Amino acid sequence: MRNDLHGILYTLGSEPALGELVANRNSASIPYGARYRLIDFALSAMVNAGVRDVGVIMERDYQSLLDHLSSGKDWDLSRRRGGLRLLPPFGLPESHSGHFGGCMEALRSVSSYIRDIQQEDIVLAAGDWVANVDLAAALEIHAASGAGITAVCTRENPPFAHHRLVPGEDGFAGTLLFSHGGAGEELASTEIYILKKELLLELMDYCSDGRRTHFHRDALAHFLSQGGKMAVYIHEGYFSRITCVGDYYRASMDLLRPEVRADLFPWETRPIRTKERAESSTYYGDGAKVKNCLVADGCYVEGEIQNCILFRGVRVAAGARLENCVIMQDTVVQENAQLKSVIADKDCTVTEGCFLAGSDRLPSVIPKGHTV
Amino acid sequence: MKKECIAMLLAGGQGSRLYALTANMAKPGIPFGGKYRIIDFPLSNCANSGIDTVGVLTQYRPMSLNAYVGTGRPWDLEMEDGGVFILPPYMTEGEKGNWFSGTANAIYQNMDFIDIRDPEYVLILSGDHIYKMDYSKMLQEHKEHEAACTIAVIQVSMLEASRFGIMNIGPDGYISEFEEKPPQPKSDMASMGIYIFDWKILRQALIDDENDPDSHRDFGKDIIPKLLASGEKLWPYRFDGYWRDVGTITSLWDANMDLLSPGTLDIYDPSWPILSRNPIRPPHVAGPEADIRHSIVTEGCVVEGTVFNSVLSSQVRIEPGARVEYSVLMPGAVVERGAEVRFAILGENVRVCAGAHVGTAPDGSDRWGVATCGPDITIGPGALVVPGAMLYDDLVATI
Repeated sequence: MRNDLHGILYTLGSEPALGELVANRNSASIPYGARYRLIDFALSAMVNAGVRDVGVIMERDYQSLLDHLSSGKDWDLSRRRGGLRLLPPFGLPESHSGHFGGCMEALRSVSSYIRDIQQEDIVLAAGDWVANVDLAAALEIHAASGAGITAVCTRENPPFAHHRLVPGEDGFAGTLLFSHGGAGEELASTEIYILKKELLLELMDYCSDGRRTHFHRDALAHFLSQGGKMAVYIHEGYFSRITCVGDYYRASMDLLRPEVRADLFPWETRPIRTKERAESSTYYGDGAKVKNCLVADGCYVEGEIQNCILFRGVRVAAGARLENCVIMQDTVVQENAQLKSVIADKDCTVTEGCFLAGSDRLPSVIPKGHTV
Repeated sequence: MKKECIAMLLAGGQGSRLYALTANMAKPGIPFGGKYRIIDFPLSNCANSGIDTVGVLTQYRPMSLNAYVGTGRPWDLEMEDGGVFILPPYMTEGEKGNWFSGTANAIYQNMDFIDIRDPEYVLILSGDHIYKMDYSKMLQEHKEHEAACTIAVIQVSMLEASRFGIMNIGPDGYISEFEEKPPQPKSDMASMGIYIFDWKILRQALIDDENDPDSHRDFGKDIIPKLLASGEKLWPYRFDGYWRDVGTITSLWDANMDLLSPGTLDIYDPSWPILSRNPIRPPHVAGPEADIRHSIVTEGCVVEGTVFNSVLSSQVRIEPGARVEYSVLMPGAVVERGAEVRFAILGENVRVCAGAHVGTAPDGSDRWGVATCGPDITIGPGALVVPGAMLYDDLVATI
C-alpha cells in the first residue's frame, strides 16, 4: 500500500497551559491512554495510510520524544531507505535562531530536507492531538479534487479550533476564520493538511522574509487570497487537541467511553502503534476492585480503582482508593491513600494514607517524580 | 567470531501429552502466563545470562514458532555477531536427509553450526520448562569443577522421583550414577534437562553415539550414561528456584496458577525480565460491571464479567454476566454472556457461546480434571463441557 505521500510532523515547544505535564517534554510526548504518547496518533495515522517516510521537526524539550521514537522501528519506520528522520534544531545548514515563531519558520529551518523529498505530496501535522484519522481517505479526496491543499476538518465545534473553514458550494474551502468562537456552518480545522511539495516550497519562499512565520495567518491566507483551491476532508470520528491540563484530563476520561475506544483503536484496520516496553501482564490481588478502567500491562493492583487510567508498571496497594484518576508509568500509590480527580505523572509516590482531590474540571497534577 | 559458550535449544518436540493444544503447534510455542510463550523462558534466560548465540532446533509443526522467534529482537538477540537461529532438519547431497531422530541426533546434525562458532562450551536447553536461571553461574561451576558435563539438578520429593531422570551423587560431589525414571530411586536429585558440555567432548560423544546402532540418540538415555561409563567428570549444578515441567495439561494449568501466588515465580522482577513478542494492542478494559480478583489480565483484553483466580492472555473478551474461575485463557478466547468457565484451559480463539458451561469446580470426586478446549473451536450456546474433557473440535450439543 505504498503511496506518494511524505509525512512531516512538527512538535514545536508546548502550550504553557499544559503546566507540569510539559515540564520535561514537549506536548507531542505527553503520555496518554495508558500506554501511548500523543505523537503515536499522528505517526500511526501516517503509517496506516502507507506513508513510508516521516520527518519530525523538534524545537525544545525533545529528549523524551527522541527516547520514544528511537529508530522508528515500532512504527515500521526503521528502514534502509527513508523511514523516520528526526529533525532537531541546528541539524541542517539552514541558519535560524532555534526559536520558531510559527510552523513556516520551523519548516524553513529544514528547507534542504524538504527540497530533497521525493514524493509529490506532503502531509503536515502537529503532534498534539488524539484521533484515528484515515489519511488514506483524505489523500483520495486530495488526489480526486486536484486541489493544491486539502484540509482535514471536523464538524464539531471544540474550543481548540483557532482556525475554521467555510466551505463553498463547490465543496472547496474559500474562507478561513481565525480564533472564531461562534458555532456556525463552518468546519474546524484539525491543522492536518495534505499539500503538494512544490506548493509548499512556493509558500516557504513567500514566507522567507522573516516576518511571515505562521502557516495559517501567512501561508494559507496568501494561498487562498491568490485564488488557490483548498479541498476539504471531513474526519467524522473523535478528535481532541491537547493544549491545556483540562483538555488532557477530558480526553483521558473520554477513553472510558466504549464508543470512543472503538473509534480510536480499530486495531484490525488502523492500529495505533507505540513504543514497545517489555512488561508482564497486570496482576489483580485478592482485595482488588476495578470498575470502568483502562489498564496497561505490568501493573499490580491490590486496592480499588474506579474510572481510572493506569499506565504501565503502576502499583496500587491494598486499601488505596482511586477515582477518576490518570496514573502514569511506574507511579506507586501506597496503602490506604485516596486520590480523586488526580493526574499523577511518571515515577511519583503517593504515600500511605495520603488524601488528595482535584475537581473534574481542574484535576490536581502531581509532577513527575514527586512524592506526596 | 569465536564464542565461549553458545546455546542449543531443543524445540522440535510435539508435546503429545498436551493433546489438542499441540495439535497444530509445537509445545514451546504454547501461550503461558498472559504475555508469554513457553520458549520465552529459556530465551530470556539466555539473554539475561549473557549468552548471545542461540540455535533453536525445530521439527514438529514449526510455523508459528518460527514466526514467533523471528529475528530475535524481543530478546535483544537481533545482532550482527550472534543472535538466534532457527535450525530445521535439512536435506543432504546424494541422499534424502533425515528428521532429527532424537535430542542427541538433532545436535549431531547441526555440528557445523556449532563448529563455525568454535565455542569452548555448549549449553543444551529444552523448550518445555518454566523457570528463571542464570546460566552464567552454572557455567562458572562447570569451569571450577573441570567437568566434561554439568547437569542442572533440582530436589524433588522422593514420591515423585521415579518420574524423573535421577542423579546419584558420589562422596566427591560428582555424579556417580544416572537412572532414567527409576522404580526405586536412590536420590531425590532430578535432572532438569539443562546441560553444559565441553564442546570437544560432546562432539566426539555425538559421533560415537551415531555409530552405535542400539542408541536412542538421546541425551538422557545415551550420551550421559556413556560419558559416565567412560569415566568423565559430571558435575551436578544444584538449582533451588522455581522450576516446572509443563508437558501435561495439569502441569501447564498448575504452573499458570502458580503465577497468581506471590513467592513462586516473580515475573515482575526488573533485574530478570522475561521478554516476549507481543502484538501492539490497546490497554485492557475493565467494564463498569467487571469483577476481577486474584487474576492476571493482559493488554487487549475486555473484561465485563467476573474473573477470579485466572490468567487472561492478550485479546481475551469476557462479556457481561460471564464467569471465569481457576482457568487459563489463551489469546483471543471469548466467553459470552452468561457462560461459565471453571478449571479449564481455553486454547487460542476459543469461543464459549452464551449460556455454555466449561468444566466445573472439583467436588472431591474422581471426575475432577482440567477441561481443555483446543484452539479455534466453538462451544455452542448452552453446551456443557465436563471436567477433564479434551476437545479438538466444535461442540454443539452437550457431552
